[in-house]
Amino acid sequence: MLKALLWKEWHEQRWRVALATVWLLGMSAIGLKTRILPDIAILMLTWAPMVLILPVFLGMGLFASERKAGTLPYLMVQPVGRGPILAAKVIAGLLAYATPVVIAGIAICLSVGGREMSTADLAGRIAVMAAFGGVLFLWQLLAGLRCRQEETYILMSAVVVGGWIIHGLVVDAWNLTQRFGHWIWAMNPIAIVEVFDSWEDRQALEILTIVTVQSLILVGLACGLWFRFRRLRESKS
Amino acid sequence: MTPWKPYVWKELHQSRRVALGALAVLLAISFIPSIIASIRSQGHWYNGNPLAAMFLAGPIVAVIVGVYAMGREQGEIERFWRSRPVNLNLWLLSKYVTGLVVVWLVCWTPIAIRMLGRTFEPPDESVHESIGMPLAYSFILLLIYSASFALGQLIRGVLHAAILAVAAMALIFIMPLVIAPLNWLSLEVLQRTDFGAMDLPSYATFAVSMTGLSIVLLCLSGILLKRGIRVDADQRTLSWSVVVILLALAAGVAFPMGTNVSPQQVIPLPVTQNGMVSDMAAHGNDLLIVLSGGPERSSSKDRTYGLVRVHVGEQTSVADEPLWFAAPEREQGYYYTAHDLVWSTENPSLAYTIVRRTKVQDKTIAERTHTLYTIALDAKQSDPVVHRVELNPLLDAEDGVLTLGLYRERLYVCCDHGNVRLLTFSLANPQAPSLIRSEDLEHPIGFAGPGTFRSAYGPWRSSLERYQVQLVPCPDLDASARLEVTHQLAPGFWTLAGHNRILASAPDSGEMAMRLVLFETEAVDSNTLPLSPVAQRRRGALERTLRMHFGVDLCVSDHLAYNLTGMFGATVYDIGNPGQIKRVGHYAAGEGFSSIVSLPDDRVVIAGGKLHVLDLSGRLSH
Repeated sequence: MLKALLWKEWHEQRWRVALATVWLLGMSAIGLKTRILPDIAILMLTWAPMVLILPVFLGMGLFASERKAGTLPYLMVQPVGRGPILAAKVIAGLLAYATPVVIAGIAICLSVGGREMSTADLAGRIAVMAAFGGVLFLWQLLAGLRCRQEETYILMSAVVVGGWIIHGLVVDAWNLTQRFGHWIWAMNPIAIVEVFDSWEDRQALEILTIVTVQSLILVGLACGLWFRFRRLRESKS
Repeated sequence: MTPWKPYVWKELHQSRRVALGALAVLLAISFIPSIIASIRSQGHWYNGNPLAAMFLAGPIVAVIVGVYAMGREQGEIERFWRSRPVNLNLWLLSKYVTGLVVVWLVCWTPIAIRMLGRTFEPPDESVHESIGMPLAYSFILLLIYSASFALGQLIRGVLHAAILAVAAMALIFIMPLVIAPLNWLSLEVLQRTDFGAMDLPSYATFAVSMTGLSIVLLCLSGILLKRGIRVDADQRTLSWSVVVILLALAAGVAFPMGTNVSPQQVIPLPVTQNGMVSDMAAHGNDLLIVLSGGPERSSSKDRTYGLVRVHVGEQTSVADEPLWFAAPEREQGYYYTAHDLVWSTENPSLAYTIVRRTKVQDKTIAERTHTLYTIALDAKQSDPVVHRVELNPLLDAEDGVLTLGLYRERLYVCCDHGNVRLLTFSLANPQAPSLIRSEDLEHPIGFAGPGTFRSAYGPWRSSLERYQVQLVPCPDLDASARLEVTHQLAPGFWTLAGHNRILASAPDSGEMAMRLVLFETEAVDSNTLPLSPVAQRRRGALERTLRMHFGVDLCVSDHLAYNLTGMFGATVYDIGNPGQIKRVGHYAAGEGFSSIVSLPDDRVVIAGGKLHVLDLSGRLSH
């Protein structure tokens, strides 16, 4: 049954995957071919907006579109538990997010790896940005799970991003890492982007803190998604 | 109750959540850091950055409010309103005006709070607040809002309208930068306003044009509403169309500006951690490089400085081992920067550099010294520094911009710390420079001319009426030697471009941008070398907006001029044709370019994280 659910989700999301792949490959190719800026700057300019927008674009197609179209009740009455439905949606969403990122990442590493940055450096930076987008995707999915409209999901996603930006501003302005430790910054998804710089600067403790805290958060997000989805009421009288 | 009040009340009632939400976000982004800083007694709470919040969040607010204004009435609600005796013109106008008021109120409230806060400051602490830039930006927001408003009426489905509105927003920002006749509507207006280079007629033309376009869009919305025209657009079709248009636009912008020069060689620096080049000098095909390395890329605390000789061959190059002359581990608590280098032609085994040593205690500078180092390049001992001259007592200053110049047996140190002091050292004993003259100069040396310049304290207008080079007052040198020494000591924004010619970056009249100007020198009048322009070239609007200005570092090799602009790489111009400066190439295939020198055979070396050797001799026009 999970396979059938995954097929359904893939069938609904594949045009978004194709669109994201074309956009990511196209923008990266234009930037890296023209070399209007150094490769690292091109990557940041093309990938940073993408890892912010793509999770929203894909996430709104998972629950909000289905609730707006009124098809979620039909899905809920299928002879399958809520666990597989949620699992299929989350897996399909993450796969839809990962597919363009992996395809474009491999293409970039193969074409410009070793040109200005080593292939390992490129792959590391792309992986870090992709991980940031993945964690953001789960946060937005948790916040927007109950949205009945795509527009509301976009707003909710913006609130999630805005909330973490404000968290970052507060931590930075108040030097909270000195008072409470690095974990208070490491809980912010934006901290994941720092992992590669920390790796270059040999700051193993910071990397360990970020990885540990984010792993715990991922477990928490998975539990949160399950509880919110289990309590979701989707019925029509 | 007059007839318009119910319409406005309804709109305000329906928009209040969006307005309050957007206002809360903008206030939070603008003032949270300054509120926290004020709690920690580090400034006033209202000294946030509402302009940045307006620039980033303003267009998003305009799109959301614009699309939502008409989009929320679609479907059953629209049919309900249509069945009532509603005055469509009043209905549309009340929606438009209320939405616009919401957008402007949300964007201007944080700015107004900051301005209000600053009025209570004592006059000596008060900072002049310019509203020119946010006012100009408000007109761009007006156009974005109007386009979103029209799309909210035209496209069925709020989300679909929003997708198109985002594309329209991108077009409003990008099109005027790409299409030359529309440059006067571009974001460059903001920079010009900030720079004080925008005159009232230009400002009025811009504002009237934006308002006019917005009125046209409002009229279009009215026609669409009255005729009930609404387009059904599939989300897939819309998204694909937007992506294709934006990709085409990006390609159209990037390809004409992109890199079209291939490096002859890329030479890695012989340093293991975060290597950076501070300065370079060349003798023939040999380079001498001041490079630094350290465990943290962005920190200067633990950086060590050394000299490296590199022989640049036709196909391959050889780099020697670095000679480290400034290392923080030798003296705990101090950190170093070395920022100028001269290499003796008469004694190629000696080089001179100025090293700044800083001691920081409790995040404040406790001590800062400048020392002139003589470095033996063939030194066998661990410390290659063979002589040190403490400069602080000679300069009577701890701060200032220090530069080095070398001409035959004279070494010159220039310090600009408000006043300009020139120290002249004799190199009778090349290893131990000895001071022979110290003088305070009446005028700053180097290139200068009429126009508006940007300084740390804001824009200022030069009182000069024509371009000139103020030469070093060295009576024992002829004019060309003085010009060469002056260029070594004050190299910013100009370079020597062959016999009797100077290439410089000069401010545009009435603009904040710089243009590249080729000058011919005239007869020296006292210490002043007058210049007359023979050719010039301006940057395009997009390049100006991206701050790819002329003149960070200029270098001329035969008929080719190289303009280095840090992150944006080097642009190459052919200056061989009298009366015309022609762009022939661009090279940005690297990172953090900091320095450029020319080699024989029309080759140049650009230093960044690596050394990039370019050979454009095939592109010479003569």
